[in-house]
Amino acid sequence: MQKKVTNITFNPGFKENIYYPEVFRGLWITNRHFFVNMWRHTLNLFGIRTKVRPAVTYQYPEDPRPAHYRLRGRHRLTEKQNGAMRCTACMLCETICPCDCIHIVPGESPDPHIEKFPEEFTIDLLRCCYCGFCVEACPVDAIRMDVTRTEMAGYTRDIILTKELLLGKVKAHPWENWIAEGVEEKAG
Amino acid sequence: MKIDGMEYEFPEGMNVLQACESIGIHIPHFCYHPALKVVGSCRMCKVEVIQNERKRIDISCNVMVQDGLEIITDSAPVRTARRMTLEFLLANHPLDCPICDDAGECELQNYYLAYGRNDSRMREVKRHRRKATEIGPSIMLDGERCVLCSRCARFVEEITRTRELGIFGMGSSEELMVNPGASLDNDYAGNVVDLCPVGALTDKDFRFKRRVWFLQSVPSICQLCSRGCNVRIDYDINPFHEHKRNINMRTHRSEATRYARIQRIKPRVNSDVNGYWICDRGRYGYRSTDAADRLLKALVRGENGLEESDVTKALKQIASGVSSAVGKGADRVAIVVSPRLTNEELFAVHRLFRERLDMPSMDHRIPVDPDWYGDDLLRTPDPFPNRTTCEWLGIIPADRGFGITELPDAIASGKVNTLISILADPRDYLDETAIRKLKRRYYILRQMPDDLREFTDVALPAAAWGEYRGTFTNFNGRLQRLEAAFEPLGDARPVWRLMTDLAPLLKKPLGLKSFDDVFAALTHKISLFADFTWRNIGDEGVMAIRNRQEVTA
Repeated sequence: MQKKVTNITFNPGFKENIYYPEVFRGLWITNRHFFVNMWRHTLNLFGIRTKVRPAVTYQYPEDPRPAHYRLRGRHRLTEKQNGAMRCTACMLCETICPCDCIHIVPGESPDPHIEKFPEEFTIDLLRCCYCGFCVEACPVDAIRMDVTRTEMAGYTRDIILTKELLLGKVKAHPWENWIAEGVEEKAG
Repeated sequence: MKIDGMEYEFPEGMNVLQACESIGIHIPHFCYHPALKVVGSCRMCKVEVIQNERKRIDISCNVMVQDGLEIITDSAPVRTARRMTLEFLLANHPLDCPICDDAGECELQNYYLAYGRNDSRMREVKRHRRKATEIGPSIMLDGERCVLCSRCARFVEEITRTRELGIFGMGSSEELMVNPGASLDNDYAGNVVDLCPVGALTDKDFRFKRRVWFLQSVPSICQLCSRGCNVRIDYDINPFHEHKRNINMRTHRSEATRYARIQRIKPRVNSDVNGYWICDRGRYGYRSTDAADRLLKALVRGENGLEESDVTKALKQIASGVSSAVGKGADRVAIVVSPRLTNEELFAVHRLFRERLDMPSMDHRIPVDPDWYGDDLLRTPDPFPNRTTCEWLGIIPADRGFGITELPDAIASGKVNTLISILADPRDYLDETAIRKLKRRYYILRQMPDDLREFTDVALPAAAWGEYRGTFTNFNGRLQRLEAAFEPLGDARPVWRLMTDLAPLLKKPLGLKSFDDVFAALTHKISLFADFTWRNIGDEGVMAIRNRQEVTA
């Protein structure tokens, strides 16, 4: 079947032509930002008016944006000084979790000085709402949310952090290695 | 006597703690237990006693009710006394609530929030004890958590009379321990866990399994002997665990207990049946519900051996088999019914096969496992929960019918060629040659052992304990209610539902649509149940026989 093609001829009249002033207005705004920021950077350089912060562009991901010190990033499980897990599998984080994203399977620890430890500790990151209640609920400071760990993208729909990932024994994503290598290259 | 300014009357011989509990005032206590003797060792149940115009603070479990006594249960001095007692009890407590299985149902935690709320003033080093000690096959002892209430020691002394536990040492070195060389392995050992007000005695079976605040519970009746102890099913249905359990059941043919839905069984108090206790058989006998060999789909023998099919197809196969067997005589079909069925299920089976199809060969007298034994506390010699109703309904062979004892001869002579076995493994009462000789072998089963598959023509999945509602009649004739905790797994469904689905295929509809219909029809059928409705049975059950005596008298 042949497709029906309709040609529409567009003749800009006066109504359409008056957009040219808007183009120049946009250029004016861009230029104003550029020169104002330039001016502020120059003043900051000499230590004048440092309270007004000029705009900055970060070269992400090689040069990550500085985060607020209370930002809640990706979870991490902490270790004791002897390398054992701090977590005692008390399930308080699982209890408080409003999105049901933490699942712990407790078990008897092989270490005779420790009674209970998590055999499995999984966090379903896509369910997590980063409220940080798990960190607050933890009685032994075993789970933390780091400021620096903010890269959490993935190529699948099951970004599930296992115990090894949370402990940092394994890198969370393959591209994290790549980013780390890139940063080192840049530094070296 | 007066309690908190109100006048009450109590019978003689009651102590003040019981009196207060009976009018709804809770007195905190650790060592007092209504089924055990009073020792007064915890000092937590202190109240103000005003007697002969004199005021004193005394432990309420050791003061008997009498005329002219005045009790103040909640005043500033009482609260101070309780707080100080609690501070002493907590002085050496390890405070390992995060890993304690009892956290959430611990009296120390509750009373601390109600009375204590003080920071520790203990400057000295806390006394250390043996932690996580195995004192029996099912019990773990944590000596540090113990508050020395001696409930467990009194239990093994007074109730089971086995005397494995004792309190050793004096003063601050006092310690609960098993007697030298002994092990807490009697049939009622699990009850010490329920008795323990703190987390000192914990259940090895429930150890670290689930925190108690995740559990939901439903009242039920133990199905493992004819006493019908009242129990509570504590279960947890967590999508994550469901998923894990499904994987476990597919991959390992073993008991999938870690991800089982039933987490534990606890007794319910019923002074007419089981008091405060249940036996360990009932406490740990819940695994069959989530066992890996549960039958989840109907099995039908096809050209390539047993194949999974849907229940309707399997029911059609049974219906055609039964009707062709009945065409040559109704006694060619033998029906063996396990007394493990609920009243409603038994009634549906009886109505279909006896009343509608008039089959004479129907029996419930499955041989009892020779390892089973009864005792004089709770366990009865009969391991089936519902034999009474089988007898009342008349699930026994009629004239010309064959009972279980006559069945092997009848099969050998070809008089019986079809067997319907409901919740009973046919190998329990028939030898393999007899089962092989049968033309049609139809089973309704909860679990399908692998070695039974070659003797099966059609197997239908039945709902397991915890998955159905119903009633049991215990050996005393007491009618008690079971509530369903969760949905049946897979295609499994209660036997009465299978019967109401099978009946129209045999052109004998039962006219029962829902569970309520079945229950109502059951109360009409058995005259002893005539006065009962689902609601008035209540959580503690009702006596059916006393009811009959009243009616006939």
